[in-house]
Amino acid sequence: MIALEAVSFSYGGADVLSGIELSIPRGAAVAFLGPNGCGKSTLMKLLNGIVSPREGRYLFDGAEVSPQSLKAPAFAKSFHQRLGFLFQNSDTQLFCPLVQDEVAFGPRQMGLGEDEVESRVADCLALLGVAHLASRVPYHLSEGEKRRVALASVLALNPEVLVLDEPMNGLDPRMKRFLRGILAQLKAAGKTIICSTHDFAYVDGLFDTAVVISEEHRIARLGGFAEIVADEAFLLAHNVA
Amino acid sequence: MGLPGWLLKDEGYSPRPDADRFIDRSILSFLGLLSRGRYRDDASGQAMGLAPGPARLSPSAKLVFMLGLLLLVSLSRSSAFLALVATLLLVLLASQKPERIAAALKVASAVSLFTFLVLLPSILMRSGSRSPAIVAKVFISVATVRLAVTTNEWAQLTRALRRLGMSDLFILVLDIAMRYVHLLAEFALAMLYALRLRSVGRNGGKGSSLAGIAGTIFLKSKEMAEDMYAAMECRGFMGEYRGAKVRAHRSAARAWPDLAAFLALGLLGLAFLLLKGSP
Repeated sequence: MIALEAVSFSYGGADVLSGIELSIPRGAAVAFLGPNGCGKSTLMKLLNGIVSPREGRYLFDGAEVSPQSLKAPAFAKSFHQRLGFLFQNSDTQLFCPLVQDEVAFGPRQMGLGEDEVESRVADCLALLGVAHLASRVPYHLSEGEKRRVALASVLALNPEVLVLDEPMNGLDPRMKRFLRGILAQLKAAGKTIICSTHDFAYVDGLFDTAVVISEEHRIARLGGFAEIVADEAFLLAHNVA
Repeated sequence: MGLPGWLLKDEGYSPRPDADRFIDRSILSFLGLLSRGRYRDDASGQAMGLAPGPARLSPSAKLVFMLGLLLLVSLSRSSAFLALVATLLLVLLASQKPERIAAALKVASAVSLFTFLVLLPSILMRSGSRSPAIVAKVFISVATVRLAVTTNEWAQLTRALRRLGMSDLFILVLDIAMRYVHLLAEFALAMLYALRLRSVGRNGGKGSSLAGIAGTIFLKSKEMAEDMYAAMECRGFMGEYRGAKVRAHRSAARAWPDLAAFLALGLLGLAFLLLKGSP
């Protein structure tokens, strides 16, 4: 479903990603691991079409995602509906006056009837356990509540692929367990989950595959999540554990 | 709680057309702002590829030259003097890289055009109007400031202001303001990306989406300002700020471009006096 072919990206002359080769099938759950500054967040942005490769190609369901292809509104809108992105900083993701408007934003744009929009909003808020916040202003919520509202607003689009940039950052243990449970349900429902994380303890058993990005911005290792996470010497050598 | 039924099915969504180039335009303008800031922050004079001329002057000399020139231009009533300064400015611009010339001329032309439009009634109704001279002064002033600003790092400019005796507190406020403009622009850019990613169909309330972003940025700026003030208080800030002493770093041998600039300013002052009576 997702293929990166020798993708490189640089920012202000400095390499951020270098020669990334990767293929992610539909329904897979992939974790990206690596030290700070290795390029994980940039890779998440690249997968969402926010930035584009300097070299190489990014294919989504066989179609190349590039600045040119994203200029076609039909392609860009369909791509963004099929691929949902949870930003690392939830503040940047919430721009509507109320929580219920935030979750309804996507479904309304998709042209769903108002009854269906309301039903989706109610479902998403209930699923994320934030139904009681429906009439609150997003900016004034706690970090954990904001993260849940942001995820609800993404899920309301019913994307096939969910990309999450450090979703466990800044959350308390209970909230991490809750988020892990939601991701496990989405994975079981056949959604493709792609996630950058530092937090192994709370994602145990969730991912099939791990991709370790090195400080040189290359893929240092790609393999089974459990096997890689168990290799303590390798994780220490790559500043991941 | 289990997942709702609709989340288990493929959406099979085909988007309806909508005009949302405003998001891309906003993203591009914020990217432009950020890249301009980064350009000046990253680069030393060499890395910026500065050509000879203003780049070799020390920032302090450049600032003095710029302020002197602006003063003479604003006081002058002589077209000949303005023509002389404009010629000098064009010579200085010609020694710069093409993109820097374009940037200086673009801003100066836009501001001058706006001034011209504002003064147009005066030009049309009064034959002896000095309005064309005002337009010329605006062009020279904006291009001069733009040239001085784009050939220096921000830190160099603030150091130069300090050398010229500007209050440390004023420089601190200026410095913080610039840094926070950059941070808030980055924050706004991330919000615009989030809006674009969720703009998957027809958005009837584009204005309210942008208003939401503006409101959040306002709240964020207030929060950041309060946090920073609290952090300053925690480090002993009581309303007075004393910056580090700035040492002169140029050897006498390397100071000749500064001396040449001061000489040129002196000659311009002489020309100002000589051409004062010219129409």
